[in-house]
Amino acid sequence: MTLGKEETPTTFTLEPRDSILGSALRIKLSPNTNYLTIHYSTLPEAAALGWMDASMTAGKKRPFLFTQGQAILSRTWFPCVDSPSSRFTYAAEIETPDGMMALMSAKNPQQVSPDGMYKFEMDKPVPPYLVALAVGDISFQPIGKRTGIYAEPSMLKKAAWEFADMEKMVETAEGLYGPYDWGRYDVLVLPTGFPFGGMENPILTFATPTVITGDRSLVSLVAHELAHSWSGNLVTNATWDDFWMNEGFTVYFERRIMEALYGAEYVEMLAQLEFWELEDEVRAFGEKNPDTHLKGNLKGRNPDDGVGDIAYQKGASFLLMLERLTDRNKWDEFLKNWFQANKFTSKTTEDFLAYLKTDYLEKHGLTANVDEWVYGPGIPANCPRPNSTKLAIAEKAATNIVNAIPATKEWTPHEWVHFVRNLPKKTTVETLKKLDSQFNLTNSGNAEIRCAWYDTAIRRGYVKEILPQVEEFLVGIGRRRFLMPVYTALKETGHVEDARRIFTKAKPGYHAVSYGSIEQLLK
Amino acid sequence: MPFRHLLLSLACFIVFSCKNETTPAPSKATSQRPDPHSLADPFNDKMLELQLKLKVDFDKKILSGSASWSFDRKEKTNEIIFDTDNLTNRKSDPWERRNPNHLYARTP
Repeated sequence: MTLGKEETPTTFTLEPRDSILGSALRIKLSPNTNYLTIHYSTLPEAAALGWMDASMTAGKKRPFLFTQGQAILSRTWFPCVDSPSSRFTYAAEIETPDGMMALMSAKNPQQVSPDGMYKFEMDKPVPPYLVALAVGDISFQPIGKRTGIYAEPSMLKKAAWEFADMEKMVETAEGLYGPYDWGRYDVLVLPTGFPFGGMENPILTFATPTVITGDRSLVSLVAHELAHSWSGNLVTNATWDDFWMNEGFTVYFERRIMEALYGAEYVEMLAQLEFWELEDEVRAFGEKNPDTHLKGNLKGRNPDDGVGDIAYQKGASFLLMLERLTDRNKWDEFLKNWFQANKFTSKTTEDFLAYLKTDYLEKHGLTANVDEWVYGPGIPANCPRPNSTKLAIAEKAATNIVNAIPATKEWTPHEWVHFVRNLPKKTTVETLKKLDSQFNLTNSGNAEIRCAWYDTAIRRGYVKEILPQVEEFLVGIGRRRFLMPVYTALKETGHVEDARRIFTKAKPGYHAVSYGSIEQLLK
Repeated sequence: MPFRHLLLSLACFIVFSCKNETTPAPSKATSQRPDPHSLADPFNDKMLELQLKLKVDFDKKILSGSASWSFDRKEKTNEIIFDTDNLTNRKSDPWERRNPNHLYARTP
């Protein structure tokens, strides 16, 4: 490090740590100071940093690092004004060990740098939670002219096959909501320890390897993260209480992309599955619980508490309800204008509602119970309810399992998941074994199926026989969405000792986000 | 413009960094703050550009280097606040050993 001669030492105080918000760093400066430098190191326990040993990667040779800034973790890897309402451009110089590639949410290299030095530039203003870094044994493969895949070498071909439709997705999205403003759109497939499904880091989506199923059944994740290039990244929630504006819009938009590419029936099925999850969540909260309001109230709480089906699914349902008030073209025009008028800014719920009132509802002479949706609990009576015929058939097959094993191999993984979840509580171990031997559910390549199957099987007493595969699954993945149901099922059926033993073995591969949730569950 | 350089105990800083896991302070969220999840002031202090220079150390599991910020402020006071959590000083830097303070401000 060399310091310019103008750099003048100053003083600072670091306040005691708040368990949620961290420590305020107070720096003395003069009224006209407009530039300062902070020299620092992170600590190994920094929550944003996922340090993975070589054993936790696909290649097993080199370690891997990824960052996860959302919601308020960026402050654990660089000092910042850590609010989604703060936006800035950034440049970075990253020094890595030889032979490793560094990538950021910025213009990226496509080849390994011979000296381990990388320079990055993000020339659009982004909030702190969207500054991201990954370092590892990474290779690149193009998909289209502005899309491509980064992954560990052994994952690259599989990932490129899985996401072959990326370029078409970007074109479809642009058709709906205006130009893609970020230059390239690439996806980085992370090692197994990544705790989330995906993270919409601009230019470079971070994706869980569990979407590489070999059957292209989970590409909606890419549609979702791509959709964030508009909702979330272009126009950002001003505070985490406005989180539904990031996620509700994105789920709505994801379904529009999927509908354009794969048809309405397929999307109805995805929407139906997720709507049931919303109903479950509302039931779990209680229908009058303020945590079921779209507008959050997370003051004094960890903003990750607001991550759930309310923001995603109730948010998307709200927008679908609004769409159906008139014809789709008017709604699409309104949304396109919202994004274009507010691009590269952060907005509150109230900003959006004011725009909605003048530029959509009043403009077209429409009325809607907006306040009930946004500031009221539960699911309003005028909520659009998906109705998927395909899932109804799978459900019927499940309830009829006592009489007949279904004779299908044509089902999509979504139908399988629904079938598995609806197997009656009294389904015998013998029947489960028969199903397993016919359809090999215990060893499915699809993590959604495995997770649902293990949850169902464990709760119906089919545990001992499949425990080695359950263990392999829990050790081999790090995504919280799949870990929690299986650990919970083990705990609630008297297998907490097995759960603890597996957790002890698996936890070096888990990111802090997954680790914390499971440790809490099993303590 | 040069600033008065007040010595602040480095040891004191380390104590804060290390102790914080066991002695969390009460939540500082107040109704005055427009973003309840930032201890900084995003509405007064407008960040313009970040320059990161970081070295990745897989053995120690740390990033070390510097973050430089350029910014505009509505109300130009004698203090600015940043959010941090579990960040620490850089003890190994040769420059650091000569200069116990590790924060610098500069006016171009």
